[in-house]
Amino acid sequence: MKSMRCLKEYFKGIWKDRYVLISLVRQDLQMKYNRSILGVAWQIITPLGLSFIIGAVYSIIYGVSPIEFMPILFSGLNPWLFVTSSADGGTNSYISAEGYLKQTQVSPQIFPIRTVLVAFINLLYAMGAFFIVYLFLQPQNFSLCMLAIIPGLIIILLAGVGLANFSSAITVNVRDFQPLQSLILQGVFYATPIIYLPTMLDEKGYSLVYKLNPFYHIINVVRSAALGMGTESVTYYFEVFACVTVFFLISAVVTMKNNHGIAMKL
Amino acid sequence: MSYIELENIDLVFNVWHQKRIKDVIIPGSNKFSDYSDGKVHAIDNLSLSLKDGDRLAIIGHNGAGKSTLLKVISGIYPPSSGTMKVVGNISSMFELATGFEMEQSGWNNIYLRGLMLGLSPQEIKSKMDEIAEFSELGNYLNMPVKYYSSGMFVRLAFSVSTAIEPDILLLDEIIAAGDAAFLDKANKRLQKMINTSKIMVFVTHNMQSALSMCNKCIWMQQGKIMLSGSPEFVTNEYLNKSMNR
Repeated sequence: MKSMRCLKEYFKGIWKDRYVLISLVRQDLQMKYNRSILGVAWQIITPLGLSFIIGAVYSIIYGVSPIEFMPILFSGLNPWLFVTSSADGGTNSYISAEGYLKQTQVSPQIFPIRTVLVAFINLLYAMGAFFIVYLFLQPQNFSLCMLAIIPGLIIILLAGVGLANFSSAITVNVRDFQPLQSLILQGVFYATPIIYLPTMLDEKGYSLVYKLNPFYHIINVVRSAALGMGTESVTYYFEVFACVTVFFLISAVVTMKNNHGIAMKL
Repeated sequence: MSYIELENIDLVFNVWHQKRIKDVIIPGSNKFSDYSDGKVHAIDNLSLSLKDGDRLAIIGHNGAGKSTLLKVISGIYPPSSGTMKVVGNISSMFELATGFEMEQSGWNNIYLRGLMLGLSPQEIKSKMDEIAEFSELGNYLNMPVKYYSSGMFVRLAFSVSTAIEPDILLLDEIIAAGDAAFLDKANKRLQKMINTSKIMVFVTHNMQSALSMCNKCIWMQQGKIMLSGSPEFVTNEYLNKSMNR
C-alpha cells in the first residue's frame, strides 16, 4: 500500500511540475551546444564518427565488410550512448538542482527525468541520422518491421528513467557511486554485443553472457527494429517491456523514499 | 481560510563527517575536522498556531533555528516528529541568489522561477513585462545571469517572487543586497503584499521591521520558543537580555 502511495505521489508530482520539466529540458537542449559552430550536428557526428572508426578497424583486422557492419555499429552505439548518458547524468541530477530543492517546493523527481529527456531527444536525432545513412548503404532492408522502433524507443526511455532514478538516489547517499558506475558501465560496454555481433559470443559458447544481460535487450529492442531484419518477435518485445516497466516502477518507489527530506541530504 | 498548525515539531539534522581514506589509514591526520558524525537538534519540540490575519516575526541569535523553521513550514524540510498542517498557497523568499540557471538569460530565469512558484505558462507570460519593469534590469535581462552582481540577482528574484499573490508569505531577511533605491521600492511592495496575503512569517534581526510589519512575535533559541507575545513585548525582552549578556 505504501508503495502504491509512493507511485501515486511520483506521477502526481511530475504532472504538477510538467511545465518546469519542459522548460528545463528545452533550456538544456539550447545550452548543450551553445557557442558551438556545428551545434546539434555533433549528436549525429559522434556516433557516426565512432562507427566509421570502429568499422574501419574491424574491416582491416577481421576483414569484415564496412557496408554491412557499420549500420550494426551505428544502430547499437546510439542506444548505448543514451543509456550511459541517462545513468551518468542521473548521478548529478539532484546535486545540480540543489538551489531549487533548497528553496522551492518543486517535485524533486523531475530532475532525473530532465537528464533522460535531453538524452532521449539526442537519441532521436542520432537515429534519424542512422536511417539516412542506412538508406544509402542498404536500402533493401527497409520494411514495415522498422515500425517496431516505436515500442523500442518507449522501452529504452522507461529504462533510461529507471537507471537515472536509481543512480540519482544512490549518489545523494553515496557520493562514490558516480566513478564506480562509470567503471561498471565500461565493463558492461565490452560485455554487451555493441561493437561486435551476438553470433561471435554464440560461436564461443558464451551466449548466456548477452542473453542474461539486461543492457543487451534494452539496446536490442531499438537496434533490431532499426536494422529492419524482423528478427525479434512481438512476445520478445512484450517480455522486455514488462521487465523494464517493473524496473522503472521500483525505481520510482525508491526515488520517492529518497526524496523525503532530500534538501537536508544535499 | 488559511492556517498553519505545528504541534510538538522536532527536526534533527544528521551531520556527516567527511571521511577520506587518509583519515582511516592515519587516524588524527585531519586536525581541522575532529567532530564525529552526529545530530543537530535544529527544532526542539516546537508548537505554533497561525491563522488568517497573523503576521509573525521570528527573532533570535544566529543558529537559533529561525530559517530552519521557515523551511519546515514551507515543506522543504520534513519534521522528524510531531504533526504539521499547513493550508494555503505558499510563496517563500529564502536565499535569493541561488536556484538560477546561470547560462540562461534573465528572461528565461523569470519564466522558470515563475513556473516553480506554481504559475502556469500563460500566467507567468502575462506577468513578464511587469516583473521586468519592477526589476529595472532593462537590457541586462537579455544577458546570461552568470554575469549578474549579487544586487542584480536580488532584484530579479525579488521581482518574480513578489509578482504572485500567495495565501502564506514566508520571508527570510533577504533584500539586504539591493541598493538603497531598490530597497525602498521593495519595502513598499512588501508592505502591499503583507496587506493582501493572509498569513506572513518573517525572520528578521531588525526589531523595527518586526514592530512595523508584524502583530505577533516569537523569540527562538536553540530550536525552542523562548518567548511568545506581542512584537513590543518580545523585542523589548530580547533586547534587554541581549544587552545584559
